[in-house]
Amino acid sequence: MSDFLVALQFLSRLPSPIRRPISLEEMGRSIVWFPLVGLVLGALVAGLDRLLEPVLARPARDALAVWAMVALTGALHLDGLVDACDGLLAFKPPEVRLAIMHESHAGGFGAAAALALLLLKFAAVGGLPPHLRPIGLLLAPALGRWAIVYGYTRYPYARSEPGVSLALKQAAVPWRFALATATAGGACLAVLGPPGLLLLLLALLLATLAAGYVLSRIPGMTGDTHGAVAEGVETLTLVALPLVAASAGFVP
Amino acid sequence: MSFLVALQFLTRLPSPIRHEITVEEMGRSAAWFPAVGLLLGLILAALDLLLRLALPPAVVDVLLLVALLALTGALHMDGLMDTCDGIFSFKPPERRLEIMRDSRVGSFGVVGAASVLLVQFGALQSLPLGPYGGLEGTPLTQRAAALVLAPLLARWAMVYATVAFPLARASGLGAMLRQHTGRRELVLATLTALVVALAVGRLAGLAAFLVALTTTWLGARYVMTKIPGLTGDVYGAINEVVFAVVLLAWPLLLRVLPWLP
Repeated sequence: MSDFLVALQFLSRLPSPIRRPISLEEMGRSIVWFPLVGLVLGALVAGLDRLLEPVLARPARDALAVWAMVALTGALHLDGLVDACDGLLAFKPPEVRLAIMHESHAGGFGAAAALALLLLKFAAVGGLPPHLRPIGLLLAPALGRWAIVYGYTRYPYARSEPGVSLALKQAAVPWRFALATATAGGACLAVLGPPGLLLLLLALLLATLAAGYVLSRIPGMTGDTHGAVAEGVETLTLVALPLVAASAGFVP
Repeated sequence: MSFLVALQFLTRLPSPIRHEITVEEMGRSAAWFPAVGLLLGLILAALDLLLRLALPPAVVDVLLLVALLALTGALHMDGLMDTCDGIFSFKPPERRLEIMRDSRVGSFGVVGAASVLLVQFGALQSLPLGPYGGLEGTPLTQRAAALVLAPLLARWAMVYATVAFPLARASGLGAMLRQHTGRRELVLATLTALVVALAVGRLAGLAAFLVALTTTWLGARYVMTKIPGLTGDVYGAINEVVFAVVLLAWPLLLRVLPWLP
């Protein structure tokens, strides 16, 4: 329970009941709960969306749902996307790319990528038919955070200085990945039945391709690139959900 | 050959050129900018046909913009952001130019890019889907015609802005280009743009060309009230704005103008 609260505090801006300093080791262990935190955040967004349904027009709720995810996470992963794009796309040698990622300023690549991603999420949420809407809002954050666990477990980490990311990397062992996968996969199965696992497969595919690209540009993954992958997987889930549901003849 | 130089400069498409490109080659390649725009437009139109089979219209529209950003490596959007940061800052002109050179993005830049991207999205959303008059039996719809014409005219606009307006400073990518981009390149670029605009859009295509011309002229004049001349960043900003304005104007042009069979 305590580890779950640590994960919740790390990944969201929700008020946390933890009143003591958190050790790096606890932070690392909490990785197993990332998909569950995603489900909690997704449920909050879906609930908010449902509450607003009688009062707001759909495009306004689309935008609010996208905004709610940014606000709940304090733009944690979006910030990662900005930094990752600035670093990865820079016309510089790999060491400099890593240094650029460390900078807190946004550059042109990062800003353009973040804007395009937000617009794509907005359009994708708007494209969800009503019966799939809560499902998409619930599952996208869970799969996005599952992709983070997958990335930490499978791929090398680029930096050596101690910190949260290194602690997460050290704690990302197969049994924790298996539990995280069971959480995310279980949620997909529970909500959509067997076709839900297609979403997990798509998340796996995108996370693998993205990591392959990152590793071609810098020697390992970083917290920023994991965040960027999470944003990408969230968006892909929202875009692909209607196709997955249709291909399986899903009727609620 | 010069076309390949332009392609390598304006896009992230894999290039067959293996030697170091000289500044002169780069400047001369401006004659081919509209041809590169045509290629980008054809890619967009093809992608549009494909994506529409599976995805909702709004998602397709954003994906087209994402594709364009990816194909160009956000080259022009980056220029737009730097331009906004510079010209809207409450600083003396020399300081504005310095700000434009800074690779970091400020709030004016983010707001500028967000607004332009949103207008591009809105404009794509309102493109008419009907068949194109006089060209029935071809896959060319009113929407596809705009998707081909807008990137082309946007890249022509950069050539026009380069040749017709003074530079703000003597160094930088824009300055290097301009040395070797002259009347000859502008004439060739304009011929390409006009021929394609007439072939694809007939009379409405010609009108779209005039819209691009006017937008560029107004935009460049406006920038010159803020800084003493244009820069490479401004050329990129003009590209993004002309792309948005041509898309916005297209439904109106089709309604107002008859087109020749």
